Amino acid sequence: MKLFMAQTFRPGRRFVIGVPFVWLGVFFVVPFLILLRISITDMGNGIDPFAPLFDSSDGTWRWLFKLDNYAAIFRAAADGAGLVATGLGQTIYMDAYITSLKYAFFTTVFCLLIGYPFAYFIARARPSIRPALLMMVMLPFWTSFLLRVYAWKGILADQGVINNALMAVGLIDAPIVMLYTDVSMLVGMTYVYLAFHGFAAVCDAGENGFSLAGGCTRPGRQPVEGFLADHCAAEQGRYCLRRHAGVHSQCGRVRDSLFIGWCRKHHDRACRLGRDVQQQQLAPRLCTGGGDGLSDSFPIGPLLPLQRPDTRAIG
Amino acid sequence: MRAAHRFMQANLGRFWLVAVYLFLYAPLAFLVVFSFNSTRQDGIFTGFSLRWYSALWADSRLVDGFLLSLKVALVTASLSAVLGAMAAFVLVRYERFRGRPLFIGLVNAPLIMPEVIIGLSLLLLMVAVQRAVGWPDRGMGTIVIGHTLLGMAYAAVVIQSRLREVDRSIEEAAMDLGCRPLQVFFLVTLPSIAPAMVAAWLLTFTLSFDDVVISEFLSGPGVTTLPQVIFSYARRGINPSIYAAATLLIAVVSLGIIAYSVYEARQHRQRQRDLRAASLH
Repeated sequence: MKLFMAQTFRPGRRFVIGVPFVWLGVFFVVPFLILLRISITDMGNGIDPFAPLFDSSDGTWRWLFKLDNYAAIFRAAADGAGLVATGLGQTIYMDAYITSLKYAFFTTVFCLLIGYPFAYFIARARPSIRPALLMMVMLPFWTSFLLRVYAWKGILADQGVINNALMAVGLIDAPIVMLYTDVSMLVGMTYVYLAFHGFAAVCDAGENGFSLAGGCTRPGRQPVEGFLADHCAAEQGRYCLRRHAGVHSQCGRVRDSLFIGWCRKHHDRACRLGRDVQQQQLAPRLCTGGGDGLSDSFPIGPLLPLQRPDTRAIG
Repeated sequence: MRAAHRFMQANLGRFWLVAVYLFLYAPLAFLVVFSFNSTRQDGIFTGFSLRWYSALWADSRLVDGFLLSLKVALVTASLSAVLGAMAAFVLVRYERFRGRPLFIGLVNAPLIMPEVIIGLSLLLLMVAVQRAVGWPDRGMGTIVIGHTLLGMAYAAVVIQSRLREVDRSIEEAAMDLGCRPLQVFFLVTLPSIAPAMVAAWLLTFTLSFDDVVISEFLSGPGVTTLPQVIFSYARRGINPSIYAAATLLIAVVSLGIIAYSVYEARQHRQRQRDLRAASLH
């Protein structure tokens, strides 16, 4: 049977592998090589990005590489004499990079702080309203993100909804400047990525983490404490699981340790649970949602793209 | 005070959900409400009117942009679904061939690569090719290529996860019954990954319909997609026609999603009933 398949699939197989390969090669690898080539080209005065890299006019090969472009990224920071020096003696590239990192960091923090409890509460909601809640997370994602961000302009502007409302009530006399500041940047970024995060976290919560946690929580426990304990337990359980399966990523480890660090109070319980999970071979049940997962109660089709591939890979 | 505290604790989940949903839906509500505003004011509702909807029809840039975006998104989504399905099939079914590690890397690379770099490097390719052979001009075709590069990677992820769950024994049964490999694919495999292909199609459609970065690099003179038009308007200040366009989009998407989930819920109940009926016998 194996042999039969291997032989008859040959031409088809070559085609199926070839088409995506060629497509990616032509439109991903080649452009990248061009980018690389231009980055080391000595454009000279003619500013020709495709100037030759070698010169063999006098019989011998000469390299015309130029690494100045790479030096320019750091130069101002290194010797204080960059081409475009800004504020703190850094180049414009480093400045932009640090700004991006800063926004990325705070956006992630806000998304985690808002999104994880959100996902948890959805996963713990009554099963009858859970599909509706999930559908409501999905809806904003399918509408244009540009339009939604555009709307924030109108809400946060000096003459926008918030300022007008506050002034009408008499809380403030002059508009608070929010648009084009860190505030508007973070609100917008958090807004856009919360939808993504909410999705991923809800799927995650339904698929493995919280369905386990839900069963372990004593009823009547205070919500916050319960949430943290459940979360720790689930994270720890998954941590062990994933390490077990050998697909644990660096990123996941940082996140896990963050959560575990935050709720040290429940650390022992979490570890115990993690061990239990490992010993009792609960892996298959956890990873498929154990029949209790959201995929059973909700049309998960459109949500699939936002599931973390690694959680699927285990099962 | 203590009562308030206890009330807070008991209802924390509800408060949290309501607060986050308010945050998620505030801009949508804003767009809908202010699309009916009678003046250009964006802070105060001055009265009901439909003038921005008629202004929307009259704005040829917006209408042309919308039509172009629609065409680009349709072609992109279809191409992405097919290419993504092929890539997924290779990743799941062909465990050993030369260059497999490279293949895996290449399929996932566009997901990790910043869109700016994808757009820029593709632009450089187009410029280099155009210099060499005088073709292609930047326009719809180049935008589709850029979007498909990204869309295919997403589609591959979606379809891959479904393809892993397909029961191989059904395919083998079909082979035993005399199906040729191609028939097996079209009669057994394709129907079972069809839902994932639809999901991938929808996802890449919205990705393409929304994209502004790649389009910005790859569009040519006089060819602008809807997000590009919106983006250029946004830089110039408030234009309520955009709100009207957004409201129409929200209406269409909401109807689609509600219809889909009603359909799914009914299917689900039917399946449950079938299961129960089957277990009784």
